[in-house]
Amino acid sequence: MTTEDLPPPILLVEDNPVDLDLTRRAFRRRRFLNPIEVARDGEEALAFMPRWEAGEPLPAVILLDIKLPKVNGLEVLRRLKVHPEFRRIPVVMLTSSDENTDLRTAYDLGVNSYIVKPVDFGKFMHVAEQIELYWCVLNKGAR
Amino acid sequence: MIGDSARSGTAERRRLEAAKVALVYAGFGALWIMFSDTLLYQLVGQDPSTLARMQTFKGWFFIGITAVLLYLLIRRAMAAESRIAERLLESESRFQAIFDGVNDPIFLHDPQTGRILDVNARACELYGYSREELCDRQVADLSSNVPPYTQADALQWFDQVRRGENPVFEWHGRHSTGHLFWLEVNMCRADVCGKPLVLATVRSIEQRKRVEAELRRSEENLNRAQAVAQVGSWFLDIPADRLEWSEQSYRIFGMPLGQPLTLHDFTGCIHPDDLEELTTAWQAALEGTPYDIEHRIVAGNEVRWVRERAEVRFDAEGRPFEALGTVQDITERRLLEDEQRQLLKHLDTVANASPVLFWSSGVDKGCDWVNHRWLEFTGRTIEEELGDGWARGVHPDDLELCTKVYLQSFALRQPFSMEYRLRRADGEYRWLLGRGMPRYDADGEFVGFIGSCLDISSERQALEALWESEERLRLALQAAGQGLFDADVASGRMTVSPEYARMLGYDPATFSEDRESWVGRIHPEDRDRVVATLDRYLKGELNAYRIEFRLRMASGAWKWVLSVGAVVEHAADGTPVRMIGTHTDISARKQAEEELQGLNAQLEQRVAERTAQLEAANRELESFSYSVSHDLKAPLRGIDGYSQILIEDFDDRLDEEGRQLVRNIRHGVAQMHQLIEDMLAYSRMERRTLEARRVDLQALVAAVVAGSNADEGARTIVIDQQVPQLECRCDRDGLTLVLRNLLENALKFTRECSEARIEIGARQEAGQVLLWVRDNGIGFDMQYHDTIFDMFQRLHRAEEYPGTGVGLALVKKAMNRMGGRAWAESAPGEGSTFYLELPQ
Repeated sequence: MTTEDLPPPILLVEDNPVDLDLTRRAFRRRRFLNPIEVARDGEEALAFMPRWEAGEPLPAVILLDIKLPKVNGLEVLRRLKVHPEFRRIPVVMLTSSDENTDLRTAYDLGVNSYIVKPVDFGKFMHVAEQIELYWCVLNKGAR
Repeated sequence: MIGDSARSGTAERRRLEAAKVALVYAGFGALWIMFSDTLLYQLVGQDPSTLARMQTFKGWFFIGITAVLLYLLIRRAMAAESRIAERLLESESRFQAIFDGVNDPIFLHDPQTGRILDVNARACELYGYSREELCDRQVADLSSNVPPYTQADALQWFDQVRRGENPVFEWHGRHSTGHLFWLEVNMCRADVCGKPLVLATVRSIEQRKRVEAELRRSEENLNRAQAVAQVGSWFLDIPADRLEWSEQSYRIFGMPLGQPLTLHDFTGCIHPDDLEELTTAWQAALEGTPYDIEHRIVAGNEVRWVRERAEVRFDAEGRPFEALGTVQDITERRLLEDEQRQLLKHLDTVANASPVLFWSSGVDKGCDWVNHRWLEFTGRTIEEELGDGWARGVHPDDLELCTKVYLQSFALRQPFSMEYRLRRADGEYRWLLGRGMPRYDADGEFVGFIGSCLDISSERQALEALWESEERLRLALQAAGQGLFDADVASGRMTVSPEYARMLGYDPATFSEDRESWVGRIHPEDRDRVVATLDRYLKGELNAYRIEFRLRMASGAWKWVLSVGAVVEHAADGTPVRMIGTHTDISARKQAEEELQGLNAQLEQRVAERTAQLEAANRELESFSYSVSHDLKAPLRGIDGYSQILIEDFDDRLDEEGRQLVRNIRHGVAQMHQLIEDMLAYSRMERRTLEARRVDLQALVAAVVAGSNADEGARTIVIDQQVPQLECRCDRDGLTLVLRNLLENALKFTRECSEARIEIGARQEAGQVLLWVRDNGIGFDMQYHDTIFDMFQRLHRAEEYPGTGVGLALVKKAMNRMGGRAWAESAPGEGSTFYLELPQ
């Protein structure tokens, strides 16, 4: 399978192993074809940028938590959105926080969507399904 | 001139004479013509040659005869002529001698033209001209030529003469030198040689005129003097009953000048009331008593006072025959006297009515008058007081001083003022303020002293009390460490108490203060403020003068003083005149204040530090609760997620009990999740920035009700909205949260009711908005009222009424933050009413 055949990956930036596991499980349950790449903190997330510049395929969507070690999610978002090219990558905040300040800041920085992680696993599954459907199937990203 | 006229007089006669000669000649000639030829015929015959010859002889003869005849006639006529001429010459020289010899100057005038025909030597002398010069001049040239002494006036006189009168009149002549002089002219007609002339004899009356002028002047002087002195004079011829008045007399009596008078006219002017007195006096005068009376007269409409004096003269037989008197207008004097009398009367009344004691003394220094009040005061008689009797009432201790002051002032004729004691009628000595001053009569003559005494005992007592109180005040101020100042506002002069000086470290004995020195003493940092405050106070812009400032002491150190003052005297226009105040040493207080300020500053710093710490702690707490809330959710999600997976994916490996346990786990997760959400809401409410804006309550309540999950089971729920159209100012989200919580609360606790009735109402009340949520639920005991609003406090077990115990705490927190309050009224089983009060 060549890179051309593969659907674009999803970049999941999540430090919490439980959330990471649950998210993965949710996507897997939906028989998700897109490969999932993981960054465990903000620094790791930013480390993808040189790789993309080097030619690795850009993700279809970046799922970004806010509370991250080293560099927090909003800062990662800011760096992405000031980049001339990577700013076009859709970014969805997937976080526990429904604080108004976080919401506003994220949208001000140019986030594409903001989703509060439901505690209820059923709901969480539903969210994962919707994200996949929307960002990986319906939405047409910039090439 | 006279010769000429004589010659002109003889011309007629000469004409007659010549006519006679001519007539004789003509007669002879006629006779000759008529008879000569006849006579010749007779004598010679009618021989023509002889006749012719004879005719020639006859012509010659005629000529000879007529020549002889003419000679005789003319000679005769000339002889007569020369005889007349001789006579004439004789008369003329005689006339001239008389003419010139007359002592009075004489002018001969032509009666028609007034031309001067001749003058005599005296006339030349009088006018200073030669005869020829005089004859060349007009009358006007020899007169002052002002009416009535002009040419025309002269011609009128000539007219009179022509009419046959002999006028005698005065004339004002002019000398060749221009000098004017008075003449008397006597004119008469004179026929000289049958010719009418005017003969004017003139006489110098200069002397007489001068005497007359002198007389007139002295009369005028007399009149003027009389007018000035308002004294008229009169003369009475008693037997003739003829009264003569001087001009001033006429004026005084208001009679037209020059009206002839009798004694009766005079008595007619006398004021009726005075007539009898006057008559008596006059009768007495006629018997030799001096006549000097004052009486009133009626002059026109006016009543005047006059003084009359007269001297009656008696003839040898002792009969009065004339009287000479003066009359003087004394109306003004009498009026003045009346006024003065009136004034004195008033003065006397006032003096006697006055509470002041009055006295006067004569030149002998002795008392000559005291008023009634004096007598009332001393209780003695006037006789007892007169002379030096008054001194017996003076207090023995004061007598010496009193006498000394009086005598000294008397000697120097200077006013005096002194205080002494005088015994009152009741025996008590009263303090009097006695004043005296020299008095003078109308002529400026010193006539003694006049004075007054005022009972000032009570004033003295008051003054003594004042002295005492002032002394007390001084002592009090001294004791209080206060310096007193007394300032004259206009001049800036100040009187200060010894403490004032001592406070500043000066020796009171040598210390002096005025506004300038005081201002100079003020600390430069305080100066402008102090001066401005004082000036504003003096201008009336401030109600009080009270200010603290630093003053430089003698040592150069600064002393804090509190200056308090007040204006105690104002001028009539309201400007301050005198200001009194105190300086209080407030150094100690200032020091204490400074220390206190230091402490305060420290305290503030400490508070600031604490606040900062607290804020930091708050921030920490905030981030803590934030983090906790978030971080708590992650494991919760894990528990929930994995338990779900367990049920879904491992169902076949769990038995019923295992499945129940997993369900219990998930229920716990749900509860914990709710708790976390509530805590988040609460912390958000604490942290959020509230926005006060106008909120439509009706709409808000409707939205909350619509958003509520009211459908709960089979029971009936009635939500009654009793909210009028009302607005209040608050945070919309905050109020929404509160109402939602209360509504949920009401729904929860009416769960057991078959028909839940919930009422949401609002009304306006005293500038506040009152909202309430009433239910018919289980209610609660009011003893738990405060508890239910506390965090995590619950009245029921979770399995009865699930909840986190955060809802009402959130309500209370939100209401507090919005400036309102929340409370409840309830009783078990009777439902509850939750009230909200918000500022409108």
